[in-house]
Amino acid sequence: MKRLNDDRMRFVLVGFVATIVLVSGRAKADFTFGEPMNLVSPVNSAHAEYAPSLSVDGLSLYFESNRPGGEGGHDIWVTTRETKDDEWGTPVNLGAPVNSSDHEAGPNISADGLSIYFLSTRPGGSGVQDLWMTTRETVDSPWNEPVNLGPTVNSPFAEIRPAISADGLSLYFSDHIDARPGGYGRADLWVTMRETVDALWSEPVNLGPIVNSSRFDARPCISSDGLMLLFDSNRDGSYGRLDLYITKRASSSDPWGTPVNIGPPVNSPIQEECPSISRDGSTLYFCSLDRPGGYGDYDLWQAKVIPIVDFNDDRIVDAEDMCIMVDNWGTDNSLCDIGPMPWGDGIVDVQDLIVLSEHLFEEVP
Amino acid sequence: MGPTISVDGLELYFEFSPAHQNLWNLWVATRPNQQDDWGEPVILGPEINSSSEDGLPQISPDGLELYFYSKRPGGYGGCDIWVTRRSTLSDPWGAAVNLGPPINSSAHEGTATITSDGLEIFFSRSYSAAAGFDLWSARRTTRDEPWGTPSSLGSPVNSSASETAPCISADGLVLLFSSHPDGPYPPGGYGGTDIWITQRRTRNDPWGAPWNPGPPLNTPYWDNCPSISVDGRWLYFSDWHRSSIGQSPKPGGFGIRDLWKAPILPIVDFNGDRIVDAEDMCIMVDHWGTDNSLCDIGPMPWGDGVVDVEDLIVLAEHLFEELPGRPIQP
Repeated sequence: MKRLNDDRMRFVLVGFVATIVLVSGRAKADFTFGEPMNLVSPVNSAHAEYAPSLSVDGLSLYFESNRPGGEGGHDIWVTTRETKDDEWGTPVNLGAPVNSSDHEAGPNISADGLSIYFLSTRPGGSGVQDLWMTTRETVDSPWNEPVNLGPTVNSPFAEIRPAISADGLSLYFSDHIDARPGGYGRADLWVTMRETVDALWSEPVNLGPIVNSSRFDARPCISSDGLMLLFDSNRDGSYGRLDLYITKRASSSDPWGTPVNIGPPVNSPIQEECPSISRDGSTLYFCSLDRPGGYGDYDLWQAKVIPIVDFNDDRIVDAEDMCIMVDNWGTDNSLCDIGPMPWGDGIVDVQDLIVLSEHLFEEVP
Repeated sequence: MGPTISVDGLELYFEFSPAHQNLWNLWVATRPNQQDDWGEPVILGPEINSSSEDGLPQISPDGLELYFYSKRPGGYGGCDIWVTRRSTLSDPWGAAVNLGPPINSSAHEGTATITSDGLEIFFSRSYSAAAGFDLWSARRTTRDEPWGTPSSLGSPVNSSASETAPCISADGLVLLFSSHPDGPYPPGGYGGTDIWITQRRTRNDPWGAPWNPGPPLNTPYWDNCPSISVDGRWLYFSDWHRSSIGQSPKPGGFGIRDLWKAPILPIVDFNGDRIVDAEDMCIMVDHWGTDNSLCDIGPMPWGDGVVDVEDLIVLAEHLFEELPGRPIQP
C-alpha cells in the first residue's frame, strides 16, 4: 500500500515538472531573435555608441555617443536613412541647445517625433543626473531649449534612460546605483504617468518585485502596443555581466509578468544593454560593449524579432500550421497569437493569419 | 435614378425628377456614419444643376469629382459630360465645367466614370437614336494631362444593342453598364433593361464578353444605372417600371423609379461543402501565388490576379460561416 502511494506521488511529481517546462518553454517560444548584426560605420566608431532609439517611421535613429565633434561629454546624435532598405548615413550631433558641455545621454524619441526624453548632468536639475525633455514644433523644426521634468519625477539621486509610451502617457525610467528610496535593488524600473499629454507627471511608481530584482534592472523601452517592456539586468541567470530581459502583460491594465531572459544569440557572455524595439516589433536595437565584430567600446547592434510560425514543428510553414491557427481561431492561444506584433495581441485573428501568410512555405532549418 | 456612393459611404448622389415631370436634377442624401439611415435628400445647388436635364452622376473613387451628363447650353452638341470638383470630402462642390473635347463631341455623351488612379475614363456616346449608345474610353498618362483621343470599346462589349451608363470599378478591372431604355436590348436579358458585366484580367488586357448576372439582380423590371462602391462590396442601381405596358412597381419598391443596392459576395466556400473552414483555407494555400480564379477573392470580390494575403483576409472574414443547405452532420 505504501509502495503504491510512492509510485503515485512520483507520477504526480513528474507530471508537475513536465508542465512547468512546457509552460516556460511556450512563453519563450512565441518569438525568437535572429543573429545580431553590427550597425557598422559610419554609425559605429571606436568611441562609445549607446542607447539607440528609433523613430516611428524607422528612418531616424537617435543615440548617445562620446565621439569627437560634439559639445562635450556624451551627446545625443542622430543618423538617418532615406528608406528602411537604405544604409544609415553619417551621424549628426543634435548640437546646442540640446547638447551641452555636460553629458546628454539615453535619448528616447516620442511616437510623434516631436519630443526627445533624455538624461543630463547639466545644471538646473534636482540631483546628480535628471530626466529632461526637448520638443520641436514639426519634424523639420529645430529642437527647443530642453526642460527639466521637475522634482516630482527627478529625485536627488540619478535617473537614467527614459522611455515614453506610444500614447505619451507613461514614462518608464530607471534609477542608478544610488537607488531612490522604495526600490528593490541597486537599480530599479519605475514609471510615472499623466492623464493627458498636457498634464503633470505623477509621483513615480516602482514596477515592483515581480519585475525588479535585488540587483541591477535598468534602461527600459516600451513596445508601441504597450504590452512588452524590455530592459537590461544582471540578475541571477544572466549569460553575461548584463543581459536583455523582457516582461509582458496581457493588456495595459494587467500587471507585468515575470521577466524572461531573451537568451542567445542576442545575450552573450559579454554585456548587452539599452534595448529598443521598432514600432512594428520586427527589429530589436541594443548596444553591446566590446562585442566581437564591433568597432570598439560600445556599439549599436540590431537583431530581427522572428515570430514562431511553424506551429507543428515539422520544419515547414504550410497549410497544416494554418489549420492549427483556424482550430484556435478567436481564442487567446499564445502559440498562434503571432500578430500584429511577434508577441501577439491576445486573440487569434486575421492579424495572425497575415503574419503566418508572410512566412508561408518557408523551410525552418 | 443613377445612384453613386462616395468613398466614405456617407454621400449618395442620384438624379431625381418629380413624378411625371421631366425636371431631372442631381440630388444627394447623406448620413453621419455608415450605420445610420440616409437623411432627407437635398437638391444640389445652381453651381451644379441647371434648368436643363442633369443626370446619371458618377463620383470618382477619391470622392473629389462628380461626373454627370447635362443638356444645358454651352456644350459641344447633344448631351455633354460635365464635372464638378472639390478639394476635400468636406469642401463644397465647385461650379460645374464642361469636360470639353476630346471626350465631348457633337454626338450625345452620357455620363463618365474614372478609375482610382484617374488615368482611364469610360463614357457612353451616341451618334444617332437609330445607332443607340456605345461605350467609349480614353486614357492619359498623368492626372494633369488632357485625355487622349477616345476610342470605342468595340466588340464584344459594344454590339448592335444600346450600351450605356458605364461604371468602372476602382481597380479598373470590372466594367458594369446597362442597356439603354430605348433599346435595342441585347439577347440573353431578363426583361426590360438589365445590368451587364464585362471583366479584364489586367488594365492592359482586352475586355471579355459581357455577361448577365441574372436574378436576383436582373428582373423583368428595368434594372439599370449600376454603380459600384470603391471597396467593391456593394452595387447600387436603379429600376423603373412601365405602367404604360401594364407593369406594376417592382416588389419592395416605393414608386416609379427607385434606388437599390445589392451586396457583391465573393464565393469563399471553395469545396462546396456549405461551410467556410480550414479546408477552404488549405485549398487557397495549395494555390498560393498562382492566378487561380477560384481562390482569387480579394481585395475586390473579383480578385487581383494573384492568390495572396489579400485573399486570405477575405476568407478569414467569412471563416466558420455556414451556407444554406449544409447537410446535418451525423
